[in-house]
Amino acid sequence: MADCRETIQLLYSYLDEMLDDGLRQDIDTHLIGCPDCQGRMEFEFVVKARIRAKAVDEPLSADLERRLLECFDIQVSDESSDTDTRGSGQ
Amino acid sequence: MADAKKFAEQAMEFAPQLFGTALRMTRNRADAEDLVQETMLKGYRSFGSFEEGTNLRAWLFRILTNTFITSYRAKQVRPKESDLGDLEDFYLYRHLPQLADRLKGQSAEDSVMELCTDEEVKQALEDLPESFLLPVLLADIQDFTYQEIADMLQIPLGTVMSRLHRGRRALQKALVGFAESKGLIDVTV
Repeated sequence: MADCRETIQLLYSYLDEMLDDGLRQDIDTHLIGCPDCQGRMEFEFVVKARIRAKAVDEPLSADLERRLLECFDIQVSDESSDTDTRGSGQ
Repeated sequence: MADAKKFAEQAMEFAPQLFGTALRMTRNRADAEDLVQETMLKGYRSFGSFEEGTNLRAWLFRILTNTFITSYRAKQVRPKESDLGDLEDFYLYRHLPQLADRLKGQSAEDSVMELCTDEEVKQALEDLPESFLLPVLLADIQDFTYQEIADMLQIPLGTVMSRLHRGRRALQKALVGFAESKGLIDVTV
């Protein structure tokens, strides 16, 4: 079973869901019996979640949305004319 | 080959995430808009090589990251890792006793995050040294796996983990710094 030192060492890998099943279960077992490590784990989990919520995406301005959609429109018309050229050449 | 219209629709769903990441990377709205536009154009031009069923979101973020590194990184002036001083583990957690005294009746987690405004969190992210910035943005904000980040940045998995680890310490230190500058905690105590 993992002790406090190992649990803290692996805390971020645990939160990031990067541990294999065996290690994860070891940590789970430790957490059940250790309120201190559990508190720490919950704290880092919530901080990570809040940071994410505060910075995850940004609304597009109408102008940027139009610019992005134009990327596709230009390419669509280019592509169809390419196809036409290839078609007529055969 | 993927269908062009479907590709455009799906790619646009990820545009706000790409733009948010681009803003943190470039710290400048005009550059961020150009970077996202360039990403969409490149993505669209090579969508023929995109295989249906693979992860479109990861693919677009990879283009975004590579475009940032090749075309926009040189313009950036960011703090160096050595400017940050000592980076303790669990910086916020260590300052919790003080925070708890300040905000009675709330959970520690709520107290901490209420101390920081959205703008401060964004600022703290933007001020990270670049070697930390990309792993932190991709892992903590966009939830990519270590392996996906290693592939995007073309660095070994172990390097992703150590940069992410140090980046999180630096981020927490910056957030404590904001709380300190507002007089909410005194880190010299």
